[in-house]
Amino acid sequence: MKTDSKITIIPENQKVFYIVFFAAVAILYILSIFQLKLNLSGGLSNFLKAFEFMGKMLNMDFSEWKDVLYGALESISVAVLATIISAVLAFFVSFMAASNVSVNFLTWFWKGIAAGIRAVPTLIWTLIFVAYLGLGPFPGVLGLCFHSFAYLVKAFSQSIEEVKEGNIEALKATGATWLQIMARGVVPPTKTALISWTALRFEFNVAASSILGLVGAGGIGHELSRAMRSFEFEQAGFVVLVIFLMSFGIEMLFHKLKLNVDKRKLKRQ
Amino acid sequence: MESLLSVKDVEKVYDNGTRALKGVSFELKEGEFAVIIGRSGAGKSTLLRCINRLISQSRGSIVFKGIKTEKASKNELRKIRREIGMIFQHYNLIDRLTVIQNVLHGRLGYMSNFHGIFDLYNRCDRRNALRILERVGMEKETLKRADQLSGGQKQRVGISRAMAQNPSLMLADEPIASLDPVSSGVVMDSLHNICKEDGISAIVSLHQVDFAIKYASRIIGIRDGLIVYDGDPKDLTESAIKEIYKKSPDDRMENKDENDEEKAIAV
Repeated sequence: MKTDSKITIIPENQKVFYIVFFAAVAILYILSIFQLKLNLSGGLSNFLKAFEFMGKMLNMDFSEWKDVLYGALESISVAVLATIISAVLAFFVSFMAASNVSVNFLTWFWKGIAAGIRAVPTLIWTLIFVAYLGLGPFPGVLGLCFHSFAYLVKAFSQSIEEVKEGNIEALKATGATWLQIMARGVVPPTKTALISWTALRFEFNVAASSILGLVGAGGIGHELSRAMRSFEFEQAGFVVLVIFLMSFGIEMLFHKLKLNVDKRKLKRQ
Repeated sequence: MESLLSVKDVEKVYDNGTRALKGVSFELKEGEFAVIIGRSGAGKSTLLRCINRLISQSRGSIVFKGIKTEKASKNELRKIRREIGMIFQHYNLIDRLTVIQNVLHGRLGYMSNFHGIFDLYNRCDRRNALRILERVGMEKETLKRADQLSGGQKQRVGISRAMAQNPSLMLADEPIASLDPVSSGVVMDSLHNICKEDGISAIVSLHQVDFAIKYASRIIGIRDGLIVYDGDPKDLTESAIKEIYKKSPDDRMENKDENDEEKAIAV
């Protein structure tokens, strides 16, 4: 074996792929700058203005704290309701959408529906429901539900598809019915994944519910929208702080719960 | 002795055209402990899975206790399956559940959907599960999670699950292929003793000829989807073993065939 010759460790076609990929990203970046007619000097002055604006927001006004906290509670309630409803519906639908335990027709049908719903952002779904049902938190719940449902159907069905074929085969061989196989052979190994996906979606829903007020779906987003429209940036600063604490707090809470579960697992081992 | 199972001219052609079984026929009497031997890809797993219709044969007929499995209705098939216990090479236990929960899964075929879904086993089933675990020496591990057990222990739980079905026939698909020789002996002893004591017929596919000769009351040799030996273990000569394990022209397809078999057992 020659040791002095150059030893290639990346295939030639992979090198070409990397070059083409990064060149395409650079071209898209430059094209986007031209399309938006951005210029560096304008960008810099806007940047300074943003700092000035931030300064105003940091000088927070807590006078409307009751309304803001009520709005925060409303947003969390919207997220809780939307997550529970969508998770329960997605749980049942995902068995029909998972290719290893369902028939082709149902798999394609439910996966297609879920992909279609996911293609439309939460904000647009909420706007549609606000237009149809009027202002308030209910359209927000529905808007979040739709997107969460589609997201969870995809996540849950993928978790179900990862179940070992042997589990299903073993229960089938005992004479168990399809429902029994799902309950005793598929749910136990996927339980943790399903809970994790739901928790992740809840975190997302809390963050999303905060901005739904911007399109008329109530909650803390409504407070933010009101403060910004009336140029009360000091009040808006307080609302942003509450939104941050709300989202961060929930993320920390779930992180702590996850750590506790991991610790219990380690102890068991 | 009466015939429990009758397999007549069974052929299995997979969707990709692979002929895994090419006309297999045999009868199994009550209380027989038959061991199937043969090379990988010879059709052993396919044959076992055709018997309880985890996969359907392409041609031929399988009659279990007087019922043609290929013509069985959904309900009849459920009844057939619950009377046929099955043991798998990779144990196929639900890892996150306890040993006793896994054993009680053997009762699902006898339960209503509601009771099965919510784990509502009656006292008799629970007591019976404990008794079975005692028989295989696993009574101290009942509340351990399945993923905390060793390979040999897992397989004994697999045997217990099959036993909980109160089966007339036991199918075991390479039950000791993933085990060390000591654990293999323990598992085969458990399986053989239980079948002998309870008068359960068994069809066990094995790779180890020495184990086959030690435990079998009858040996069936399969090569390339055909039975090439069917007889008493005492008559299994060196030349008969060579005949069973002789390379077939399709050997280069061997690995491919195995993968196909695995794919074909999906729901």
